[in-house]
Amino acid sequence: MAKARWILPVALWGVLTFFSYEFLLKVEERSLFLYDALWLKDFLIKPSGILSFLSLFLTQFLHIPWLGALIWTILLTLSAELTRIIFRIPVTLSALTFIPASIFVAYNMSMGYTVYLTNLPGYFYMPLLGYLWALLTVTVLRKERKAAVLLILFLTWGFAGYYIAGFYSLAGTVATCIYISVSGDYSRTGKILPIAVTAVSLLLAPVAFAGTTTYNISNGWIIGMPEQDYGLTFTRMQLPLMLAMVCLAIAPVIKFRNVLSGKGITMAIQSAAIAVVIAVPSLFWFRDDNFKAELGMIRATELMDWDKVTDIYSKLQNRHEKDPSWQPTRVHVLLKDLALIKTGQEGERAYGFENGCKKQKTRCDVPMAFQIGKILHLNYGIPGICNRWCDEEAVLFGCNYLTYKYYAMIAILLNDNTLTEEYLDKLEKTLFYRKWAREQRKIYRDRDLLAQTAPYDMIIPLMCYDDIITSDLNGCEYFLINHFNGPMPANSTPLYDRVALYFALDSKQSALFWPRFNIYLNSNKPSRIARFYQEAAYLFCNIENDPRLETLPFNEKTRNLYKSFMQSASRIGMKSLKDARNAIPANLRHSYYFYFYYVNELEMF
Amino acid sequence: MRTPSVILLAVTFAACSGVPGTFDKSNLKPSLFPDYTDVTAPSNIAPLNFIIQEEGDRFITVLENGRKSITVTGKQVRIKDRQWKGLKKDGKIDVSVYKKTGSQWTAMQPFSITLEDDIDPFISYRQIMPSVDSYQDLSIIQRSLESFRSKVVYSNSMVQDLGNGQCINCHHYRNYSTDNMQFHVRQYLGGTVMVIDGNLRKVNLKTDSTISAGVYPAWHPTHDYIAYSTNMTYQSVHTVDPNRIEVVDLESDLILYNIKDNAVSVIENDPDRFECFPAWSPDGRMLYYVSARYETPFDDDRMDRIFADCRSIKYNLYCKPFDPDTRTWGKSVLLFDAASAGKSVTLPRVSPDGRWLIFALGEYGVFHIWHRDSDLWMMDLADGSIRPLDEINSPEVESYHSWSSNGKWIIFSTRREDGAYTRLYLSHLEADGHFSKPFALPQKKPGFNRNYMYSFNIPEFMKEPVHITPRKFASFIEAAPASPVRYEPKLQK
Repeated sequence: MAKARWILPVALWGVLTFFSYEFLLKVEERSLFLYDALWLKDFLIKPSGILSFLSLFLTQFLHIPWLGALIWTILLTLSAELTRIIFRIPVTLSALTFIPASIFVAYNMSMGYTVYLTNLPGYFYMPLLGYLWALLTVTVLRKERKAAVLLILFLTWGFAGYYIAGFYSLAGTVATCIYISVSGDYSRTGKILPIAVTAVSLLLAPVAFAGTTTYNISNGWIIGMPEQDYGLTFTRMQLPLMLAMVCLAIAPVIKFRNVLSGKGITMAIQSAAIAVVIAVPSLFWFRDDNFKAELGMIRATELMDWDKVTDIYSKLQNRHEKDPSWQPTRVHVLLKDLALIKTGQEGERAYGFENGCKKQKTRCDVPMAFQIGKILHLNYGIPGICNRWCDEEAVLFGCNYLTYKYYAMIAILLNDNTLTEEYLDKLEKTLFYRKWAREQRKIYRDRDLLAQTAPYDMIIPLMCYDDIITSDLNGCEYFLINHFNGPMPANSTPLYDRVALYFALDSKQSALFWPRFNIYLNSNKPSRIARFYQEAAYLFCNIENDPRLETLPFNEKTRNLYKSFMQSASRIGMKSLKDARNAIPANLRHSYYFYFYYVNELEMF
Repeated sequence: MRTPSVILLAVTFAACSGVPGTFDKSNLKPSLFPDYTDVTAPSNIAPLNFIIQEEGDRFITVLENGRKSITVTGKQVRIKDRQWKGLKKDGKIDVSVYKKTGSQWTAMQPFSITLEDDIDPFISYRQIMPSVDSYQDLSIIQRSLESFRSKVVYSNSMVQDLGNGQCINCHHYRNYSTDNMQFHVRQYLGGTVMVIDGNLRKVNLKTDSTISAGVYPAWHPTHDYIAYSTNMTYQSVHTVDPNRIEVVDLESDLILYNIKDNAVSVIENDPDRFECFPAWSPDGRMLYYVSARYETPFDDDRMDRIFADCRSIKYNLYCKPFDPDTRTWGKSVLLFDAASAGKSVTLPRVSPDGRWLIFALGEYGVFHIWHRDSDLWMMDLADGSIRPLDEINSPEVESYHSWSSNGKWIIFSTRREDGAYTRLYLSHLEADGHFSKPFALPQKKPGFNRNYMYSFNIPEFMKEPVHITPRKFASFIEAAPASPVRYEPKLQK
């Protein structure tokens, strides 16, 4: 039984490493730890700032998911072991000690899309470190028996502990009071004094620090916990952590030795505890295939691994082949399109994938801009809007590794050399992004070299238009459509022409398509016209009785597919769009014809 | 046996920390960050700490004033307050920088720091991260110029929660005194927070007859009035222009708030003009402001048209006589027709002696902190002549500026260091009407400006610190409703 309790952490580590690494990476990307004294100073001015600082230190190791998962799992296990030792819980009931840890696992792994909205620096580790601090509080404070020393100790710990760990320290002090109250080892004064002092520190510690800091005093008692915002409620953000702390308060009350009197009872409790420890994370663990694929695609996009982006999309699509209700999310579609454009395959492959606008499985509205706004705008050559989203995120959630990376890339693209240096300096002060920063330093001053280096080689040609003062009005996709469907730049590049053609194709407007098609043919001079461009041209010629039907070099496959599609469509007749869509044979679904006639009502963001 | 070791150690130490015995001489002055070479600084300024930006293995800096000398080793030169006070006494500090490359020492060309004319002991500024829509992290900070101490005056994080955002802006003082001051709180628990003779007041300056609450303030120097612009301001972003953000007014007028009567009257409200940034003459008998003509219907597309045309919206400089006793206005006079020169004026501020008027001049618009072409210009009000302050300006933005109470110093915001983050610089007005070489507000850690990703805007001098605590402001803002103001018809002479 004693050895069996190690199974849970090992299993957790395995699941995290092999099935949730994309999520761990996202948590890490959206945090920041700088090896910099000025940065540290910001944490020292606020209660729980030190806890936040330590949490961010540990969060950085999630960059190597197996390592980050290992550290987290070890600390979770440590919290359970310390709980067992401190409250003298027998090994035969050791599963009980994992209950707080299971709450922390559930709390973090239920995050899902909330990962884009959480604004507390170090939130991933803070509950766990806070709990460990609370355990330390109990350990230290319960040792003293003398009333006078108890008074000083509780008073000092009440205030100093609050400064270090905020809410968690207050919770630890309360737990100690309960421990002392139920223990027979303390005198009457020794019991009353801690309670009185704790009451004072509970009441006054948040007020005392309010004079030197600028937090909202009404949040003073829960400082160290994520705040509520974007529809993230008390139940989601704070209650679970409070429940974990309640375990600390209950533990001293239970007389575990008495429980052990009956072996059957012990077994029953242990089994129930194991069930709880497994059930709580399992129930709340955010499992969503679309989300997981999104994270994978975003990661691959960041790494410019374009083939992986489309591979993830294909695999996702294949996994759901037999599920007619499955749709990709707009994040999937937009990243897939970007990857195809980057590899020059959009004309050949874009409509070979399922299209859709599956609503993301979110508890609250998570703006697309926070998810992929920066990636899209930068890669499509609109650094100003990318910068805007970096700014907004920095203000709302604090700067993170990705913000600085994007800031640096924007500064490089806009030729702001001093600014580039400042951002690269920041990243040089990190453990895992300094290599990237050093690589950028080698290239950014040499504009010729920059123009040949990814990702800039595919971004600079898209910045060939005159500056526009605009707003994306929080709608990334709409903005991109309007941007590329707007007037063509006077000095457009072949890449811009190709992207503009694709957006025209996607918009189904022949009036946009034809001029862009001609520009594309002139500037790109393709040896052969890609499949979907042929299909679009053939379709528009047929619809408009355009004489180019006879002059353009359409291949047989395009013509035959059109014929088959139209025959099939006329057989299906007047059904609802959804029924008609499902009635089209599979071999005709992945064509521009199908997209044109049957893929409508896409909700965009 | 121990004595020789101690002597050897002492000799070694002296050789390490003192001026090298032999060295080459360089014709170049050292490159410093911030650049404090040959600057004129206030005699009560905090230590001018700097980083030596030279290649080398070792560095020695000697600061001396003839009577006293201190030596600092290393690239980062941080001077203790006590030492700095001793050095400042004679009004001039000579600085020599030595660098060692390999085994060779080189003396850089020495430079000096001249100390003249005291400056107001405090400034306040708004600390903000650049953004378009989000403002969750705003503070008004007061900073001692005689030391590095800074304190929060008020921060929006003290009251707001994330569902109830609060923007704070436009801190302003009457005659540099904090007993009469104001700042705006927008959105959550919004209102203009005023300190009137030490007492707090929160008012809603919006009336049915004005387009918004008060925005950019100008406290009358002798009477209980505050002139404000009223603005419908919007922001948008540039797609590829390094200016990044564009701020325009869809409408703007000028109003006068009568503190005693708690009443607002219109100063200027021509619907075809944008009027903005009022500033009083020191005697309070003239109001300076900027105004641009732009005629377009007030319909749903107005904003789109204004953004599309924003490069053609050019503000001129005007003044308008005022009789503070009768509260009557004279006719506006065009002081500087910037539009006809293809330029746009903003932020006029008159020197305390009434002789000089400094403004920011850019290619277009009124919100020049986002315009890299913006420079500071100065008008001699004695003869109307204007000139660019070339001795101050940089290729990057120069924008908001304030005069010290003795008129000897200005503090101005600039993005000269990196083009993105607003930093504060000081400069001394010489007897000939020219300014001395500007220098960065000194910081305890001289690399601070390169490291701190906040902008510091609206620098204002203060003779004293703000006495009301941040918590008192916060409690007041939470508790007090913004009291409405009365609207008074416009008074014309």
